[in-house]
Amino acid sequence: MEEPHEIELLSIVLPLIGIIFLIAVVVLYLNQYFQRQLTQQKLAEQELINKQQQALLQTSINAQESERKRIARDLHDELGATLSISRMHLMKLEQNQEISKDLKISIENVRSVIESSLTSMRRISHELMPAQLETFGLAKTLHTVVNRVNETGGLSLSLEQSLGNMRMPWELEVGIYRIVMELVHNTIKHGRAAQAHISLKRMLHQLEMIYTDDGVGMKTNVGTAGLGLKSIEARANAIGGTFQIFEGRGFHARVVLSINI
Amino acid sequence: MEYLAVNLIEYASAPVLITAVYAGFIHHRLVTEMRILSYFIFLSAVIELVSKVMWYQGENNLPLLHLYVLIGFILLAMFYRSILQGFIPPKLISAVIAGFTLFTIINSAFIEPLTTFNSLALTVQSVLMIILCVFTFLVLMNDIVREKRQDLLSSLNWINSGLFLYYLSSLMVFYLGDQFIQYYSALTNQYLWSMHSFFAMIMYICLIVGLWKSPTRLNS
Repeated sequence: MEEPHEIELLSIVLPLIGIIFLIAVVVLYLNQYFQRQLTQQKLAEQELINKQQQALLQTSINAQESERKRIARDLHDELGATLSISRMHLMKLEQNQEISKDLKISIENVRSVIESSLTSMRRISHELMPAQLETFGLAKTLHTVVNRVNETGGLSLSLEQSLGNMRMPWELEVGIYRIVMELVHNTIKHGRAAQAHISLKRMLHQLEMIYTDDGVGMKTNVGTAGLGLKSIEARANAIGGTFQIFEGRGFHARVVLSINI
Repeated sequence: MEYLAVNLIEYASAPVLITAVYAGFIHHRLVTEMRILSYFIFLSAVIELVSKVMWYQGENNLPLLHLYVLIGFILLAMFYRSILQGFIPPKLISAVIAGFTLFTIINSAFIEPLTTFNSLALTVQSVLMIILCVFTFLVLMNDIVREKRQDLLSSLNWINSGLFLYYLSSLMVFYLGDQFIQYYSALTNQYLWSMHSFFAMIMYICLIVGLWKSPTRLNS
């Protein structure tokens, strides 16, 4: 049996350490790449989920708006027409000299109820979907809203807008209209404000809507806020915008939308 | 001890042949990744058989080892490429295959001729395989990957463990092989090679379990 030779440190052990070091370095590099890939994949998946959720929300809101539009039109065209015809017949009956006084009073009462129903029907139809929005656009509709609110005397509402007669896609107009209505409703119901202001400005490819009032203010965190603010945020997201509430006196909200006009 | 060492080397062919028969039996229902691995097993079995025949005929069978190192590595690298897809730089494995092919050709032509033991190529192959195995272990430990590759997880763990154990032991054997042949007795060398055969057996047992646990085309 041969005499075993001493293993030389430099010729055997050092290269071996070098090999182990090389393996460790390459594995570490691959692991770094893997972790980066994983993070990117997670972000991409999250983005996809967000896009799907936004599309779902948009579809759901569009379906809701179409249904509102249909109901508003049916109310106005069918029920409204029927009630108007009934009112006309009753007015004709009232002019008839042959009917008794008691019957005339009864007919007047029925006509009054029908007129009241017509007014309610028009209000409901308008609230469901203002015909003006479809015909004349957002700016004119908001002017009407401002006038109606001011007529009540409870709140002084002002509007500043640079849209003019510009028309936007239907989803955007309805979305902004609903957001403004929800904000005005919040001010009237919870804000205890004397004044409120709507500013609607078009920038290059953006539309900025700022709403302020001098009321008691609101929670700045949408996550813990009520259903109204959540609904505003959902609507803003659905039309590709962002919704922010600022802290301070009164209520200060900002909706920024990216638009391609 | 000497008897055990001789027997281990003598019967080292059995596990590879059994694994190849089993792989052949289930090949038609294997998923793509496992099919690539089965080609490696078939190659190992064919090389093993031919080299045995050449050995009994007294011919030098080392040229087969040169061929086995190259084609075996290409198949294993393709197997790892298929399971690590999306987790490693896209062209890395292809570049490694190209680089290793070039290296083994140059090695066999100019450094370690076809009729000699190609310890350098085997060492490089072992280093590359250890890197792939360790990295695969890291990938398989990740929760997201475990969820995505749930069907292959158990199977891959067995296969990767087998390959890792074998190539780790091979690195030592091939790296120290030259030193041992030069300075140590024939018996010590026999012990070294019996250790290599033992780890080869372990690898094929792991491969059989991995194939047995692998998903089939019907339920994958």
